[in-house]
Amino acid sequence: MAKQDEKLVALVAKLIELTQESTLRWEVVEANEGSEFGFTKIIGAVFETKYGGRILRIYKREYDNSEDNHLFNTYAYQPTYSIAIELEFVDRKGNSIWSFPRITGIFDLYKAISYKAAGVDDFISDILGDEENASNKRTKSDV
Amino acid sequence: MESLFSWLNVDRIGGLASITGLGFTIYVFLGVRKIKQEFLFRARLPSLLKKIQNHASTISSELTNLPDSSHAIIEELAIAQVNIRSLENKSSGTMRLSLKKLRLIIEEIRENQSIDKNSIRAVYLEMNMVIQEISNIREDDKWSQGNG
Repeated sequence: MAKQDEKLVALVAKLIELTQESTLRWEVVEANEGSEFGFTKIIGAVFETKYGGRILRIYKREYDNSEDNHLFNTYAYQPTYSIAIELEFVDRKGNSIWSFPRITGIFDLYKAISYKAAGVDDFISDILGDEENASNKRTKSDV
Repeated sequence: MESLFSWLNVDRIGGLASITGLGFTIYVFLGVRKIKQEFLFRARLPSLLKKIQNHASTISSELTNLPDSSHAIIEELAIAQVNIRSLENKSSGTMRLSLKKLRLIIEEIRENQSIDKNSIRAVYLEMNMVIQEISNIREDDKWSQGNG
């Protein structure tokens, strides 16, 4: 495997680790829909983080492949879409500077970021903590 | 030249022909076996690669819940090992070596039951390296066949 690919795969794995350990904090930002082409659109949340003076952005992009498929299958028109995760460096105005190539692990990174940004762990401990407190109170009042 | 003609009688020509025939049969047998293996590899690669990707993805998600998820990770690694071995048996060259290396790392973790974050992260990284390598080979393959 090319050395550059190896480095990028290792980098994405490191970003997942930093995200899961909350060393890297991602924020939900507004999507820049204006920069999208006609056959693509941003779906889901767009996340940004700062690391070492650089801004990293990650989001899901949906590609509409229906036209391409229609060229090969003229009798049965079927809308087809594919989804890719885009990871890129952006400037302060949100313009893309450099996009990462399609590297293994980017989907896992997006999943890890969504999980952290949604605060799933806090939500679970809040709900279960409340339930535990309520059951403790009930036990005390029974006694 | 004369001695060669005197040496060549019907029996000897027959013997030489059958030896050549045997060599040719072995050559065809090996060729057919290679084609069969190649076909099996190409047919099974997409689904097995997808499965290994899913294993890596699950392991990555479960890492946040360690040590509670250690049993789930061991289970996932066991199934991943089977799929990796299956792909390893069908592959050849550098891909086979990378798959073997990954399988041995997983085997070591399962034997030692060493479910700490660092070792699982190392397995996850190695899995992604192999997946990336296979994806690159597939892409190269597409281009070499003119389907790129």
